[in-house]
Amino acid sequence: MKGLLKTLRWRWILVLAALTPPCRRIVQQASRAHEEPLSGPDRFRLRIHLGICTACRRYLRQLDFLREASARSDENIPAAIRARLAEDAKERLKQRLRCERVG
Amino acid sequence: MTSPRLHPDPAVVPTGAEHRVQPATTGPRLDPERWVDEHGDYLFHFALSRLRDPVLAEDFVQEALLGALRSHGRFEGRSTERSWLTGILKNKILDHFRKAGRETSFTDLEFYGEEEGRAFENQAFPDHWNAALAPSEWTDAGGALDREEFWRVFHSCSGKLPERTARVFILREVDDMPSDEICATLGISPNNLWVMLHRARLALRRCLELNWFAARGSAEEES
Repeated sequence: MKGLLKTLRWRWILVLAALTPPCRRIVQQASRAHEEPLSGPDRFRLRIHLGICTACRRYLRQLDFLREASARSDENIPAAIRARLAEDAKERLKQRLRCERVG
Repeated sequence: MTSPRLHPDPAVVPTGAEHRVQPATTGPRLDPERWVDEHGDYLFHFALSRLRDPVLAEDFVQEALLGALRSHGRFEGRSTERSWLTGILKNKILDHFRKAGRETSFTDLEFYGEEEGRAFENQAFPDHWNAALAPSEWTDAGGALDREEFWRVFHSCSGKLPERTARVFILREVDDMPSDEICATLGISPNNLWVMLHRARLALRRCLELNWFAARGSAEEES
C-alpha cells in the first residue's frame, strides 16, 4: 500500500515536472509577485503548479505568514531581548537636549 | 515652567497663529528629557535593528530627538508621540542609507545562494524541492503571533540575515516601503532587490521552521 502511494506520488511529480517550471523557479516567482504583478502565462503556470505541489503551496502560505509577522515585529519585541540605552547614554542624550533648549 | 523657544524659525509659524496652536500642541508636551525615558529604549532598538551598530544607533537617536525638538511645532497630535518620534528617526536613517548606497556597491548576493542551492537539490527532478528541506506543515501559525517565545525566535532569525539583505527586508516587510522607493533609496536595481528579498524570505522561513514550528511540533508529541 505504502509502495503504491509512493509510486502515485512520483507519478504526480513527473506530471508536474513536465507541465510547469520547477519548484525553484516557482518560489522565486511567488516572491517576486509580492513586488510586481506576474505576466498572464506566468500566473497561469504558477496556479497549475500550486494545484499539484503541496510543498510550494505551503511555501506560499508561509510567505504570507512571514509578511504578517514582519509587519508586526516592531511592536513585538520581548523585554528579554530588547536593546536598551545604557544609563550614561540616556544622561548624555538628556544633557544634549538641555543644551539645545537653552542654546 | 520655563518658556523655551518654541518656534525658533518665525517663518514656520506665522505670528498670531502661534498663540492659537501653542497651548494644544506644545507647552506641556515639550519635555524632551521625558522622551528619553519613555521612548529612548524603543527608538534605540529601532535604530540598532536597522543600523546594527550601537554607537551609530545612539547617534541617530540623538539626531532624531534634536530634530524633534527643533520641529516640535509640527507635532499636532495626529499620531502618538512615539510614532511621531519614530518617523523622524526613520527618515534620518533613510538619509543615511541614501548616502551609503551611493558610496559602496550593494551586493550581498553571494549569501544564501548556497542555501537556495541545497533546498532545491533533487537528483531525480532537478530544481524541485529536496525532500528533507521542503516546507513542512506549520500548525497553529496564527497562534504563534501571540506567543512571546515565538517573537524571540523571530528576532533571532531576522538578526542572522546578512546586513544588507536585512536592510532590504526590513524596509520592505517591516516598514512596508514600496520596492521602487527602496531601489531609489539604496541605489540598487530591481533585480538585485528581488533576489535579496527572495533569499531573505527563504532563509527566514527555514529558520522559523527549524527553531519554532519543528521544535514545537516535537515538544507537543512528547507531552
